[in-house]
Amino acid sequence: MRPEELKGHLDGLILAVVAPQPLHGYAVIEQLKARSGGALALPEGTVYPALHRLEADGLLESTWSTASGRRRRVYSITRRGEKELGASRKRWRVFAGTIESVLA
Amino acid sequence: MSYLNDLESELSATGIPTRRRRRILAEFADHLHEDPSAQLGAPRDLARQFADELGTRLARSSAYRAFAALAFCGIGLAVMFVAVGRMRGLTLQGQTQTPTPSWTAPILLVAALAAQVALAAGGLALLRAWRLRRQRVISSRDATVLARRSALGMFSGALTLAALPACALAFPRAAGHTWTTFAWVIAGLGIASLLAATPALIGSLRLRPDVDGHAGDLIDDLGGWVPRGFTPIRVALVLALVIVVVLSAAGVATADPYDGILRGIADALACMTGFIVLGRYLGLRTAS
Repeated sequence: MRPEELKGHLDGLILAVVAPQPLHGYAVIEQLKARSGGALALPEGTVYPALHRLEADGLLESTWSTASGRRRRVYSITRRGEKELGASRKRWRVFAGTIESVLA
Repeated sequence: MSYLNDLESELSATGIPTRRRRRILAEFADHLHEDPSAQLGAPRDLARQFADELGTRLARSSAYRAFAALAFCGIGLAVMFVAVGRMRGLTLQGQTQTPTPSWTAPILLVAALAAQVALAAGGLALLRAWRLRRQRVISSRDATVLARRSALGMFSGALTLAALPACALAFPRAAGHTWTTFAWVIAGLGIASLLAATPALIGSLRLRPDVDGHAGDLIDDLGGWVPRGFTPIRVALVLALVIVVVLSAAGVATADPYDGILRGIADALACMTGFIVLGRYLGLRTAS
């Protein structure tokens, strides 16, 4: 899947992979790849600005943790983020259903 | 580690604050440790993306904070006038009844105009920020308009507040001890609230999105609130007319219709002058 096709959906995708458990940036990208069967091959660095923005918007929160002596930022979803994720899923179902009904 | 050095230089060049920069670099260093062959993207593009996304949020939040600070000042002023009930002592009419220094008239005039400019600019900043609330990234022109509206609103609010103690000094007998105390307290609290909103404004000026696009005008801000075919100048004219009608009606209600009409015309003229002088600067007429 091309990166431009993800525009408008990246926030929902990030919230979806962070929702089950807190993840650091690298793990978020790995989860996106794993859960999409490798289809979501976007430039890895572009996820970080989105993570920072989602945190600034109050949809994610983050803390420092240490792994093998290295500091890493771990992100978890907030209550507001969960609400946004629900809304994002709803929007996607309506969108996908509409496109499907036209294309089918 | 030259990739991280390049990224640091680019982040610094786009205006990302030091603390945020360190955090980004730590995250990227961790990522590269996990996967040394990771394709993270060009440092310049990444720095630009950070600046666009974070700058957008800063521009919006600075407008919200500016409006909140101005609203706090406005509420403080309203409470003061209502609680003390000395409004007539502050008017130019009151000035003729009490001997006052010659410098009071320009101060009162500036304060009266500044209060209205603060209200208009702060309200317009809020309107634009609200209109753009769902946009992930806004254009640099939109960010400029937001910053100008916020800055002008805050500056005008500060002018209004600074005039309060001056008025208290100018009208010691008309004002009285209670009014003087209120004036200093409200001015102090108001200035403090404006100062609290200043870092967000400075931050939005330092870290700005760099995205092409039109900023639109007043019609875009008002959206569905104005009939189709309306132009910004027509909106300003309608507003000026409303001001004349409302102030004239207020004059009639207080058994002083001529005073009301004169005030209405003066305020309407001030409104139109403000629109003509500041319209382009504040993104009311055309894209700045």
